[in-house]
Amino acid sequence: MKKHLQTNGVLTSAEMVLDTARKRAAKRKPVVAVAGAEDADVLKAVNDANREGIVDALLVGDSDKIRRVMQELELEENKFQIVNTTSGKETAAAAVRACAEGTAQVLMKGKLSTPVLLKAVLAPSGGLRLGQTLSHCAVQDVPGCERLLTITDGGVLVAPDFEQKLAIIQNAAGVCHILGIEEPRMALLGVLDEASPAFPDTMEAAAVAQAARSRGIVKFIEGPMTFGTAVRGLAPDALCESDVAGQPDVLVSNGIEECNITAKGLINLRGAVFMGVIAGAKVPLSLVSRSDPARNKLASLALASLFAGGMP
Amino acid sequence: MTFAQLLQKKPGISGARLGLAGENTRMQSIAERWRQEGGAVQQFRGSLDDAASAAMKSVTEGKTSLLLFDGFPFLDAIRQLEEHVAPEAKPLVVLQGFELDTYDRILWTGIAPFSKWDSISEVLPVLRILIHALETLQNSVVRVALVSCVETISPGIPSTVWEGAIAQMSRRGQLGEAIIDGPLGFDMAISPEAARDKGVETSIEGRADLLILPNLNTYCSLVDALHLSGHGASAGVVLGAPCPIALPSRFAAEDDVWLSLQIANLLRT
Repeated sequence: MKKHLQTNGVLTSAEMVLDTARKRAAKRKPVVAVAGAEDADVLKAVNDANREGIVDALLVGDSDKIRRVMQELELEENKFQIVNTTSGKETAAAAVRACAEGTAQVLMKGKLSTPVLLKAVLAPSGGLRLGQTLSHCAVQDVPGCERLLTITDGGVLVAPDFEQKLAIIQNAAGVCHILGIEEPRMALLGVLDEASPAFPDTMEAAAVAQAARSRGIVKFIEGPMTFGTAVRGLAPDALCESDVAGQPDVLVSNGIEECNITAKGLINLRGAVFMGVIAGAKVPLSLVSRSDPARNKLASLALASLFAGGMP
Repeated sequence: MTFAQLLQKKPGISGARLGLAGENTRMQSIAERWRQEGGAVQQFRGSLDDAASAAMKSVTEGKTSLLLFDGFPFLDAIRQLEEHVAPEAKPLVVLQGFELDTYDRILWTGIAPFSKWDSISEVLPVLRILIHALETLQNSVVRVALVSCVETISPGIPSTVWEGAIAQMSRRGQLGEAIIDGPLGFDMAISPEAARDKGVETSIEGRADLLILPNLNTYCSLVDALHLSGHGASAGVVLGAPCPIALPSRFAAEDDVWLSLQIANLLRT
């Protein structure tokens, strides 16, 4: 069993992410600014994380509605600070401002549309821009895998171009650093294990891998590589060697659909624990889906809280 | 429905003339097992190109009624088979099924790997082939989820547009009895709870038999992911050729190769 074994400071399971988040929060508990907190599922997730000692919360939204939902959930009325707002745009701006000013260290999407929140995050002034592309990382604890497997980007960039793929790789490397992986091993997914003009995505994967190495973004990256080869390793009769096959930390997909669907396949049919975070801004952005099991919501907030010292 | 239930429905393999292509050692074991069940076996040796050529010739001459290609890279095998199949039969369609301990029915997915797969005109003929195959196998109404990363039709995500249009055609009764809906997130397709939690009304109700995926990249990655740490059975077949072809995954265990062959045999009649 890999679980609970911390090897060279590398976190290899969702349980280890939770443990580490608890330990760090014992010294200084990060605050989550919840944009659109008038939602029972979101409040329950935040309250669970608070009860686990991982985060405090700043609830932003319609204060009357928030208090009503808190009553329904039988939460203490004054447990969390509330900032009253009257529109989605105002909610997004207030939550982002709290993060920009340092009052909160994690931004969480509640009952608010993602585009409205991202617009506030990316606002030229007062936003949370770092000047780099935002991308979503799905960190998965997959039964049978010895290490956490990050799949990206299944949430922000629909069809990333060459430069955006490099930004996705950069952001994923940042997430790996948070997990204690100094030199992450990455595979750019493809339908083949070699570049072929018949499949243009495989040609781009090869070029992106080369660019990522030559620009010094990441040392160990290969592509194209099929999901199976990446995770299981090269075939016994393979004519080459690989620093990545069989031991990837990150799988970079060709587009949002491939990543989103493959990640959900692992979660729903292979029992993976999912931790999602949007990286690339000054603070991590946590998005949990209403249909996510409670353990995934908790783990996502724990992962986001590990960024509390600042984005790498 | 389970694979075991599927296999109870039809007669056995007696009299079926199997053509085998592949050099791996388990082929001998498969051939022996087939003979013991009363079937005839012919083996095609050499390169994939040579084997595909000889196999299709044998099928055309009526000497082989069923094929098994094992141990070849998936896309290479399809490409070679397409080259040796009559042009009007293109594109070939792959159908892959999984029996998992986390889902209460066989979960199928299919695609035509060498089609553009970006419009109704590309997807619809393939969808009809897949539905017909599953109706033949399962003898029941097929639930088809057109899967994407969102539940709304968005021009920014092109697959949602053709998926939404196909779902609308189904609602108007243009696609037979199959229950078809999309675009749907993966969880909506296979989890009744997810559909309920998100408040999305869908005729699939989280009980899809067949997943239609947005592109080949997604198909390949999802199929590999479902094989990962797999507890359960899987079967792969190729449709659209003059005879059914069993094409198990490169990660398939010998039992899965045999299962693929049996599923292909069910489609023979």
